[in-house]
Amino acid sequence: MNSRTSTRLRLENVTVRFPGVTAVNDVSFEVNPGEFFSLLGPSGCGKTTLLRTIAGFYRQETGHIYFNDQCIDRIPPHRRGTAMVFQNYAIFPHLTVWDNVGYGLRARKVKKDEAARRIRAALELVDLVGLEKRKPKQLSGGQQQRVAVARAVVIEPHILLMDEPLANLDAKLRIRLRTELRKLQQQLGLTTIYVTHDQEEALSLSDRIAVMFGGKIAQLGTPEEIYQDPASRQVAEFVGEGNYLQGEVTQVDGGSVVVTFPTGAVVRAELSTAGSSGGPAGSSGTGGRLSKGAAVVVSFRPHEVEVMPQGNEDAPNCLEGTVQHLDYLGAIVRYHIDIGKGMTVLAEHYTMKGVPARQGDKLVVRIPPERIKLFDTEGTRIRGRSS
Amino acid sequence: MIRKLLSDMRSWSFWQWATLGAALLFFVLLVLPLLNLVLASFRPSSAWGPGGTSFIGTYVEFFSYRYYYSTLINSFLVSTLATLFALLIGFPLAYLVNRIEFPGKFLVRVAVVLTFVSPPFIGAYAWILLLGRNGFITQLLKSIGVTLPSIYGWKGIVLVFTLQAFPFVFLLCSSGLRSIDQSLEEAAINLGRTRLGALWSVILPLMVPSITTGALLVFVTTFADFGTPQIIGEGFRVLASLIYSEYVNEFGGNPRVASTLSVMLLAVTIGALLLQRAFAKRYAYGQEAIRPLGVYRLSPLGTFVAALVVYTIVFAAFLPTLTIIVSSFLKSQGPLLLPEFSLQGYRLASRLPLAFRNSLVYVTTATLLCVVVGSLLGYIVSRGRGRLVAAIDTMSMIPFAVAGVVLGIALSITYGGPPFYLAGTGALLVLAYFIRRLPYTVRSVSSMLHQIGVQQEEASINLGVPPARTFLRITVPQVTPALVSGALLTWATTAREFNSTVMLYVGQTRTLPVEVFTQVLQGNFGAASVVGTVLIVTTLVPILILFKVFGEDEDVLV
Repeated sequence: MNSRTSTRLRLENVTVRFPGVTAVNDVSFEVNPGEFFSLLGPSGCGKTTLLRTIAGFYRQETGHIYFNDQCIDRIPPHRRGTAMVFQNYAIFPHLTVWDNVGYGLRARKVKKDEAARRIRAALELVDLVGLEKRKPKQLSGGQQQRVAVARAVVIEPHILLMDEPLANLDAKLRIRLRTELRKLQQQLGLTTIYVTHDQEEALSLSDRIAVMFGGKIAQLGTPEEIYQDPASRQVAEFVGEGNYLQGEVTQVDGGSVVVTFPTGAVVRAELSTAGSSGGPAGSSGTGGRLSKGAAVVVSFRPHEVEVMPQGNEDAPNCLEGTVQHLDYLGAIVRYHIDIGKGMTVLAEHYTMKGVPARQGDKLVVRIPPERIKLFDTEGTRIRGRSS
Repeated sequence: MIRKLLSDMRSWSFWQWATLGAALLFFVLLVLPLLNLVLASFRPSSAWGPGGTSFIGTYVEFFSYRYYYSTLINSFLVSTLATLFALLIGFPLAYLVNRIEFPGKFLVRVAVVLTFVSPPFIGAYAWILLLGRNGFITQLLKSIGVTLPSIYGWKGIVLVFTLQAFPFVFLLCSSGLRSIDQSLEEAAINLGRTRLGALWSVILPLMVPSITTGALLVFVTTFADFGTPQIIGEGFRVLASLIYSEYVNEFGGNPRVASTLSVMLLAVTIGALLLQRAFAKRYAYGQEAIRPLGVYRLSPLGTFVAALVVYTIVFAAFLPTLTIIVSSFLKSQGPLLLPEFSLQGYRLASRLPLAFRNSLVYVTTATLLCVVVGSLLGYIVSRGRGRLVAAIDTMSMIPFAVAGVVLGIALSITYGGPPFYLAGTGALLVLAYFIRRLPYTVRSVSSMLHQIGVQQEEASINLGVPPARTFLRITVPQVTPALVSGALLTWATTAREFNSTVMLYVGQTRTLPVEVFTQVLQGNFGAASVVGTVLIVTTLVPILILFKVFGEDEDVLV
């Protein structure tokens, strides 16, 4: 079914407004043919609105949408050739599995034997052979989800749109179907827009991710860029856990910045220069603002630290504290460490290397300088001067 | 501004026109007649007419003369008592049937369905056959020297109302019970309550919306009922019977007085509706049971007592229908029924064919109108937006609060005379049936559409099927079963409609319920039973189709 060459999607300054709200605010991006592209963000960030605008259910107030080089602004939804997988699947309850999958082909007046061949191929693809005559009521949640996917891919759409297609499934099934979905998409080479609020899902599935807040794209990049090099504190907090400790800049030396915490502890951060990913303008190259005395937020992820027993507290970049409590999770143990002045550090340690401290014990964490990200108090990323 | 509107209208789509049409329809058939009714009650006729030249003259007179205001008190008395008793029977019955294990539960369904299919006043007449002066049971007990208190008057009305109305409470409470999760009761017991304690402290409070809805339904229907008090009241007059005698009077009737009384009745029923709304809203938790309350076993003695209570209620509810059917096969001489089986009643029922034909024609026409207009309106209400749609939604709720008697008079004074001259025509009856049942169709279609959601329609459009064809292929097939079952229910309900019919019919347009009523009033009990039996069968058939073919259960009857 890979007969159609994949489509390039381009959005140009798209704005969607509803009475009283701007749901999507001046969004532009381009999705490459065959790319798996995720829109990630909390509920209400405009990601579903954007998806439905691409499908044509909403009309943007300004801006344009292109499939390859054709502007599709004026094409009604039923002629756009986007296939959507809905969150609740929207399977037609009065039709069998076969008729559900064949529904879009009938609308396209595909010849009967040709249609049958494609339906069969689609059902094979999603592993539903043998259930053709079932009604949706007789299917499990996972099977219904597959019907929805088969119904969408069988029409060989320009763009495949998925609106949280795994949200209604239980955790185990969700992870299994995630892998299958990715495999299927690569096999078909379909340009895919995937909406989710689950960061893990987005990271594991996507070629690229657009993180959205308040109708705007906060960062656009590969999963690695989004996770390792967040453009703002908001993005960092949404994509994975982190520590955010406020301190004061006491020394600036090129990309090397020394921050002193209210507890007296001192850490040195090696700032990366302008990000490799295209964050919004103005977020990079702000090293100029970094003068002595500036208030900054020191950020690092729990798994990026090294947990050490007491006695190492005087080594560079180490923070000492008392274990408030710990979560033993099997492979890792998570320490909630009180470092004084009401500040807490979350640190993870592989249990393979033993469990060095219990509740109430003193503990030292070392933060590698190159792992530290600095944000200003507004949450904007502070990068090193690109010299 | 008007010019702009007119130029806008040129580009209107089909649905926009349909919305405007729907709003006009409600205005013409409902709002206008009711406005007319209210206005008529304030319109001074002549200096010596009722109410005189004062605007509120008839209202002042109503509260000055015991002859008038006592009916209001009487109505409140019988309706309140009936509501109370219906709750006292309906709730325990619902609890026992839904929660206790005992055999023969299907009998309750049968009883509920039977009380539903018989017209409201038929119980009154049946109880007279049983407990009246020459009643079957009265005679039986007299022969062993026991004298029963009189069935006539308010006691009889309350008895008949209660037995007629408790199924509503039963059905609503049953579905209320099913929406409570078993875990809530378990939590209460786990925290130290007995099962009865849990019923009192957890289940009952959660059922306030169902119970009050049931109470409202009983109160409103009995308050506006005219047939039962007329038959068994014997001089005990309620508001609805006063309206009837003022409007359909040998001396031509008096529209102004009848309108005044109707406005009063309207005020009471709307007041009750609003009161219940406010009350139920405060206690509504929007819960849904994942595992509904289960059934449990009592001790053998407990089971016996529970079953006995249920069977007694079922028997009492079943008795009137049984009486009618049996007596229709008895030989009769005027009011006297002889203990001898015969088909004489059916052979001699010369007045039956016309009434039967009328019922069939009016009811079928009204039902078809309801289906077509109702599905259109349902779609508009559930999918449309804007002020006009909101107005339609509100207007479609009005008939729920308007009693049949009131609607009858309102339609009659608006469309009976010039320039429409519909008085005495079947068309007026069809209009009344249509407007009364329309809200139910609208509600069932719109809730069905709501349930289906827009996503399926969007999925279809997304897959390449244009909107109009999507409506035909995706929406219509899914709504059709609901529409057909709604039509059957409308048919059954309308066939037994009496309170508005009695205000609008003339000899040539009499329907089955009216015919039963006439025969009872004339003392032809045999003939009344024959027509009554035909009516019961007529309404039972669609209900049975509904149950068997569409797999519905008695819950659709509320």
